[in-house]
Amino acid sequence: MARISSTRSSARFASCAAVAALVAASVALREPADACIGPMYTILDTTTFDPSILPDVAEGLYYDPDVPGFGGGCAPSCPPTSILADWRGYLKDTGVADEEWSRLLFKASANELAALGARLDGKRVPVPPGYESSSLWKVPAPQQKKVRAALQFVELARAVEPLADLTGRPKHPGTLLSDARNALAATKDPFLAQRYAFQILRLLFYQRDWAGAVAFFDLNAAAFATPSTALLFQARYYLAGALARGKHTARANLELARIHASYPPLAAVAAEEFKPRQDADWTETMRLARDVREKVQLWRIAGVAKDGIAAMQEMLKLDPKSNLYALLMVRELNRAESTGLDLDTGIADPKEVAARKKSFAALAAIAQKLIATPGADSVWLMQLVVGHIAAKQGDLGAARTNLNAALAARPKDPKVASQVRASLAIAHAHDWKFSSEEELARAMSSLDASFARTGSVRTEVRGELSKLYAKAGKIIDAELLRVAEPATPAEEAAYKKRWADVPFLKEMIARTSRTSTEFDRFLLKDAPTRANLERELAARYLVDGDLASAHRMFSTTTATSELLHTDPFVMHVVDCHDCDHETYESAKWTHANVAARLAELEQKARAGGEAGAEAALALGNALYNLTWFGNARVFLAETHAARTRDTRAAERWYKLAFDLSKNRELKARAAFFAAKAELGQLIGEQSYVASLPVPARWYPVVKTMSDTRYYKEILAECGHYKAWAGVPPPRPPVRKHP
Amino acid sequence: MDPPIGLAHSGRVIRVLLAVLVLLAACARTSDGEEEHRDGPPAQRAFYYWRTTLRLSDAERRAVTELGVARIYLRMFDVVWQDGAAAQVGVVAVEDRPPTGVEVVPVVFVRDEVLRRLPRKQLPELAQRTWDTVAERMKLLGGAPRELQLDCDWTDSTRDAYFDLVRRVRELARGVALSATIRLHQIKYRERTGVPPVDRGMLMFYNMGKLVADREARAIFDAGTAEKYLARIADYPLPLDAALPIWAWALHVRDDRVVELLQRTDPDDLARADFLRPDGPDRYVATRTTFLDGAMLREGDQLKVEAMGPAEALAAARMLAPRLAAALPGAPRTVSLFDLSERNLRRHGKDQLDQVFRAVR
Repeated sequence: MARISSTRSSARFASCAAVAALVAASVALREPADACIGPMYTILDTTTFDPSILPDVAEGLYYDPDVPGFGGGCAPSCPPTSILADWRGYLKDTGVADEEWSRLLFKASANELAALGARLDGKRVPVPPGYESSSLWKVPAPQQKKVRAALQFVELARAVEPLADLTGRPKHPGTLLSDARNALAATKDPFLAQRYAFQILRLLFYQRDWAGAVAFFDLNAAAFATPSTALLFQARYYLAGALARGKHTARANLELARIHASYPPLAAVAAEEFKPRQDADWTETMRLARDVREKVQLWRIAGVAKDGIAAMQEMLKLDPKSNLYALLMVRELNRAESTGLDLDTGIADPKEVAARKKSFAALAAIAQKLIATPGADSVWLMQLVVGHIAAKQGDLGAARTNLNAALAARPKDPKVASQVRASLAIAHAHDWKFSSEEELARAMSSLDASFARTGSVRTEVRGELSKLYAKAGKIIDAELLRVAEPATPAEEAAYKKRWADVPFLKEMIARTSRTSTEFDRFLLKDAPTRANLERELAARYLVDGDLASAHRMFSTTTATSELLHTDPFVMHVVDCHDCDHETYESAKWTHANVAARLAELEQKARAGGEAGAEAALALGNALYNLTWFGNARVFLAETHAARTRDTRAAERWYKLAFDLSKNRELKARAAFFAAKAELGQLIGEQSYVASLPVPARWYPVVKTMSDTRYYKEILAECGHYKAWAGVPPPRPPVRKHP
Repeated sequence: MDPPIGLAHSGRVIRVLLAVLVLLAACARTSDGEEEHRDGPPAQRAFYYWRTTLRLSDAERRAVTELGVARIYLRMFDVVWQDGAAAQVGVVAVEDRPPTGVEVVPVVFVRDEVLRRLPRKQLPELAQRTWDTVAERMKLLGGAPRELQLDCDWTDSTRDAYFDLVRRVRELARGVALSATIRLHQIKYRERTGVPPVDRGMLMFYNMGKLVADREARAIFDAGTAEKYLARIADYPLPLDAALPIWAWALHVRDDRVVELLQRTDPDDLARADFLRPDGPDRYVATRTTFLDGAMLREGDQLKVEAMGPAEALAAARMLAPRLAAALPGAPRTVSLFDLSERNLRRHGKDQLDQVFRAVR
């Protein structure tokens, strides 16, 4: 279907000399627009298995080929959140307000912190503006020491912040490092000790002292370990960075695997940073793993970062009961689903299709192994995956068995129920019997609103059924089910012919009245509406020249009619689509009243005489303007007649106007407009014409009107005509005989 | 004014005859029986340096000196489309300087996608940032460049944006010669892709095919494919330098599909890897799941090696030489090998590289 937006995108359409350039320009104009809207299809379109069926998956870990890396999880926002939560717990008995501490932690300047600290120490320094009624002054005496110590830490952390930069040369830390080390040694408070240790680690890291950072972490492992888990894993993240930069790839990757497995907020970025390079470092990483679980964790992060199927196969050798399969299984299923798809044409590269099948087989084999393993984790998910793969491959029996088993294991999970129904519908579509219409329709109509793949499932099911119904000769249903453009030139020809056929359109409209079965309702739910089909038929009448029927459709049915924001009866020497839309933005013309006006004009034109000539000219103008060349293309947009370049009907009315009129000014107009219509036919469907053709029927007629005022307008505005009229056509080259 | 048809025709005949005469005059036979071009001054010798840190090893430094290399084309950074904007990535870290007397020509690689997506009004800013970063990096190398090269696989749909960018960079880089890399398809289809508004072109005589799993297919250099493009080199309307391939890579293949391109893989290492077994010439099969140069190999995956050895590099040079000589006989030009690295030097050897350089004038 043509899009309204594209019909309004080209700047200026002229029927004279500028046409050739502008035909090319309109094509070129569309390219950047399309290029800027991002990928045409997203993972939501290319997959039919909803990965959000898995609970508690860290943000950014689902498979999505269009997202670089792994989405980043909450990396930028989660540290402040977790830090605040830690402090809230620590200061809960001190009376310091949460908001105030947040301000001190993240916003207060070094000077403000120093002044507040001095004040707490009892020194007579001015209270920084905004802190006059601070809750700091109301801290009970037994807690004051704790708050003062906390504030001292914040002062140090604030001083560290400007040094946290890897882009330039390291900034000298002055006495900060020794201050922090002294504070760590002095404190007996594990909360503050962990935080001082963290700041020391950061200082060493940003000084590019990779070895120092690693050694410090190892030496102070106990201080890092508690009380804050969030801080521990943030520290591990620094540790991994120092290891990687210090070329200790093996251990760096192990640390990242630990973070990935145990701290969801950093799981995605850890996977992004995880970069085993060679067999040697990978072997070493495995050797460093403390136990089988860590080895499995390593394979899992490798699976997220690189290849989940290979990773799961390795994990199976180590621990088939691990709980780390689910995410990889869902990721790889989505990856396989979206391999080798061409949603535009439905034609995929055979190698890609073969690869997809192989991936499905590998995934089904892994899932089957897990199902057969007593005590394996998420068996319901594996059953769902096996059922879904069977569905995609058209094995309804296997699909039903496995999907029902999954449903039985998770009876109260609406997402599982929806996935089961969706997969079952897909299975029906790929293993089709017409007796399954009702079951399929019921499955499709009962998908839960939370199911995130309704659109893609609908597209797959309807697309498949559309082909099957067409094959079975049920063309009306096939067209109502259609989701894609025809795939081959032959199909396209048949499709165009069908949608230009009045009886076919009438049958389509009639089919929309049958809604008694579930399948009827499924069929019609995402199909063109009755009102749109009625407009389609009205447009067809109009293009076919049956103006009275077009008018009748708009006046006696629910055919969609909207404001056109242009005046289809306006005509210029040089066409200007966008200018007319601007000028006549608030014009009264709608689909319906244009059709009514055309029917009225037809009657007047048929009556003959000067009034008939005027009416015929107006008809020519309107019918020209409805084509791709005119200012009212929007009339046919959203119909299958959109962007028609057939200007023959317009030319016929112009000819009648020319023949009927005795007024030479009107005749001049009619002749020139007829020439424009003729030119439109000469250009036809070409997207680029190097040199503009000459309307040989009408230019000579226009030339006979050289005594008119309108002729002068033509010469003034239309370079193409002027060139033709002023210069005799070039003689053919004389060929010498050999 | 265009000449009348007859004269234009005879002019073409004369040009063709001249080209043939030049070819005949310029050819001589080498000891191995191959034709070698001896017309014109020897080409200036150069290497491309394509890593993100400029640090020459002893072997690389020695090769530059011993081969009489006069220029290093140094990749400065890539301009890519990132988060909805043009971004510079992989800006070269300068930790070293080339040997004294070796000129550095900065090269900026611009992804075609940037030109497709960037609003035209932002081109001046892109040009400014590009030039600023080049100038800043070049300061670390001792001063302003004499030449700046832009590298972009532009097409007919991006030519206007690219040429606009080139013009804007030219305005900023006053007094600096501007060159652009020219791919073979841009030579053959110049009417569509246009000729960039630069002082010189660097013909990339490589990347001749798609990356496919077929055993016989060659993507770096394929004589049969090259042949199809040669005819239009001689009358390309820019003075042309030439870039010749000396590198190797491996294609990671699974189920007859290319999974990944391993650009840094040294074929010599593959023969020694205990997780690979040879599977015919230039093929290996992974015997277990592991990692190689960052790629995760599954057991059963294949590696297809494509390496430009001395013979292939020389063949490419000899194939190109007469066409270049016919373009602007006697004009000075630069021949640059892609790329300078220890493993490429090791695979080719100094004498063989010397022969490659000699083959083109």
